[in-house]
Amino acid sequence: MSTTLERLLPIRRRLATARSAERAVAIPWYLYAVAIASTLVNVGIIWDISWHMTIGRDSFWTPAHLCTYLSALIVGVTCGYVALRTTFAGTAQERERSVSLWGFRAPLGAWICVWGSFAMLTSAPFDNWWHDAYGLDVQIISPPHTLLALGMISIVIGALVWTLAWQNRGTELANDPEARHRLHQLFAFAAGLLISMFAIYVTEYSYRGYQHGSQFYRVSAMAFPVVLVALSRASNMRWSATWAALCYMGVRIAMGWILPLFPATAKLGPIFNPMTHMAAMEFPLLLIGPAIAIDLLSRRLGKDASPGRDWITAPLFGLAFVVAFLVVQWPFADFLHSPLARNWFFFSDRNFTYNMRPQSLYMTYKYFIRSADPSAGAFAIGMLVAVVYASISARVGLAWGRWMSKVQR
Amino acid sequence: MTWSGATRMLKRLASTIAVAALAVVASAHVGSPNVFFVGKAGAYDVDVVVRPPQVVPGLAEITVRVPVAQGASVRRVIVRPVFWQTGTRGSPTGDVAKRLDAAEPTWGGKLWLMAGGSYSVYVTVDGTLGAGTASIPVAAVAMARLPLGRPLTIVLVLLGLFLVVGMASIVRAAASDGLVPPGQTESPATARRGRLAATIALPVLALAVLGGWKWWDSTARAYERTLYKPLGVKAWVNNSDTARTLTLSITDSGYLSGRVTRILPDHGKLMHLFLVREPELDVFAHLHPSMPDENTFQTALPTSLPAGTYRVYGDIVHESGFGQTLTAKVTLPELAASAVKTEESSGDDAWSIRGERGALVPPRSSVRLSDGTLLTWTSDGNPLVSGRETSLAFDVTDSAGKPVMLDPYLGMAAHAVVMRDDGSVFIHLHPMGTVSNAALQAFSLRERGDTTAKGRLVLGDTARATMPGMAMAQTSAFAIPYAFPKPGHYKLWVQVKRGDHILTGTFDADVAP
Repeated sequence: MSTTLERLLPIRRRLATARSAERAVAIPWYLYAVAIASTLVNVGIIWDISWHMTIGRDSFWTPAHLCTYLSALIVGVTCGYVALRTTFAGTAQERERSVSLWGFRAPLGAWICVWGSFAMLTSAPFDNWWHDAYGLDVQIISPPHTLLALGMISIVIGALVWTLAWQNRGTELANDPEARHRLHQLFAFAAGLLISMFAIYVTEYSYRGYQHGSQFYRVSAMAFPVVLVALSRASNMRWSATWAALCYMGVRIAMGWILPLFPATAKLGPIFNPMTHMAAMEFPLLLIGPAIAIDLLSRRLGKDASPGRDWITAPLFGLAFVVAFLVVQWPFADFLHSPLARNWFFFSDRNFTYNMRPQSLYMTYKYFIRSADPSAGAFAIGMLVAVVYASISARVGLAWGRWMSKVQR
Repeated sequence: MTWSGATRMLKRLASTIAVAALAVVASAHVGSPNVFFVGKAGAYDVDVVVRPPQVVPGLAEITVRVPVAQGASVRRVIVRPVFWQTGTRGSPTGDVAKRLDAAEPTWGGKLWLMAGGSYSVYVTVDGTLGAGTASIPVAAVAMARLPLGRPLTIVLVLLGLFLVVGMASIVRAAASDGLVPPGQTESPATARRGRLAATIALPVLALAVLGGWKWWDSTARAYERTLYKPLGVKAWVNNSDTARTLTLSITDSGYLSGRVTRILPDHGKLMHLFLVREPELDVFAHLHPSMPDENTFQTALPTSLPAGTYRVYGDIVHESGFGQTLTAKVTLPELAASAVKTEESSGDDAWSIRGERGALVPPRSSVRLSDGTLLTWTSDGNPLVSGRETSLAFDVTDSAGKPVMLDPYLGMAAHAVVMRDDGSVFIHLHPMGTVSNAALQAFSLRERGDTTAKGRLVLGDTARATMPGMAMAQTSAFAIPYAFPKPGHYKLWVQVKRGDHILTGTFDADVAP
């Protein structure tokens, strides 16, 4: 008996040491909680899209939906607790790190998360009615889905802003390089999840079959520079947009590897393409390319430029995005259409849904005819328009990034 | 401020939707979307009701009643919707229906109808008598706009208001105290900046809400264009002093350009054409036009039909198994008195010009047919109620009260037409229910691979000519499964055949809410 206890003692001692080490790395638990919620939001929505691609039948209780509800629940409990505690029992330090809203106090990031979970809550009855009124759609872009997406994106932005407030203050962790490193990791991960949300929202315009048409680049030019430029400027981390793009690609690749491992069959007709396993969304966009370009440019131009100068640098960021994205994504689209991508690693052969026709352009690995520009001139003009969009998007990103780099609470 | 405007807009939208929902023609048949089927699934008798969804894609409800003989039992009932274009190979496996009531042999389930068009619902009964399947044609079409109810409107407006004000407050905090390092106090300038940001954010958010509302509106408009409408037709009468010819010409460009599948004979007839005189609904005719070309139906009108304005309903079935009713209106001129003959049927065509009718007052109502026999509608003693499934039971007796044997009329014991007095409901029924024989046939050919996805029958004319009616034993009584879709005053015309004559009996019925 005593010998067993003696053998257990070193384990207890090790556990205690580990706990105190954790305490030394003073990253508060709620930053992890909202990061986990942001992850669940992403996993839930990618899983749900795969569910719609494969099984089709939708109900309130699908596991993918439960995953999303769980994220809203975690956000509600965490932020609710933090707000109540800070308001009624907060230490002076905690109160100083919070902002006041309708008489309650909590960090700004927490309020953004709360808003996100309420937006998700509102979208639920709206979306339900929408399906009853206009059909059980499998559309990603509709008014109730947009509200849902705004809610989900807000949860991710809230997690990001909360993490950034800790990073920007710097005071609490000044003497703890390990914690600062951990904070950078948290930031890069949350930022990757944010890019992922933007990428999911434009899925219907970014299938590989569209990637040789200028429309795809115009849509991407609206969606991505804003977030990449903002991330690049927001953090004191080097290569922040690049790390974030890598995290986005990592999450999507992981989902693309995991989902097709699970057997599933279609439960909705008409079935034109019999399913045996869960389908995966396409291999992620190579946003790593434009992210490197933006990070390089950002370092070259300096992160603290004045708002006036931002008007001049925004077109540079816009141009850098479009050129870098075109250079990497155009040939990669060819690769994704080739037999070399039809394997577990690039999962090009696992992107088909039950209601796709086997003879369709998509299932025969061809570009969509409707996405092709009528002439080289039309393509060139389309790409110039993309640069204009990207510049506007980048200007918004610069302003957003400037604000994020200053947020303190 | 802007929000009261948004609320007003939401309200206006809700009321427009509610009106639109009322005004819509609700079915491939007129105003009677539910499908009733009485028939066989292998060795079992089945009684099936399918309630299609108002929108497609949507969920249909199905109930299956399997009354089994003593000693036999049913293990399970499987329901499975099969889309015309994909057949069984392209349809998901069926679902086991739930036993609804331990005492009643009734099962229920949901059917996911994901594409607009022609479906066949396979009902498989598995039990001590083996397994058997019945297939029931169902047309999946979007039929109405769903109104946004008041409670939901209130919830959405309140939550929306909360979100807008909440976001403006977050913007204020983000532009003011969110940027103040801990330990410092907010300066008046910072506070002002926060208020300014919130003031700018509010109209921006209002604009976003307005944009969302416009988007919603355009979706609703686009959806409205997908609502089911019967094929467009033009109807006119050519007349001389001694004869009148009715022509119906399909004007729908989708049909004319071949995008809609051709027409299949049902009970051996390409169209079952019904005429009802307005406004008293006192004259009724059931005719079978010929098709001089693929877009035109033509028939000589009985000389005894009096002049007046007539509603015209033409039931057709497409090669895809999709059945629908074409509607039009024509005015019939007077004929010379010498040309008028008095008979009430000719071949398979039959009409009724006598005002005589029976009104159903439970438990029974009788009407004398033109050959002197008595057609009696018996009820279960309960008044007719809207939405309640019932069996319209009839029998025919001679003047001594003895049962009179009927001959099959177009392969059926009887044909009946139910019409609401305002014309908002019109449906052609048989003892086997609302389903058309031709649609059943089309689906069985489709399963054998005898037709293409576009619905062309590859067997050619032989297959078209040999559409058989259901084999039936002679009887003097029959029952028709149906549920009146809404309350109101209805007219029923019931047609039976004796020898060479088709006899038509007319009934009035009041359906309670």
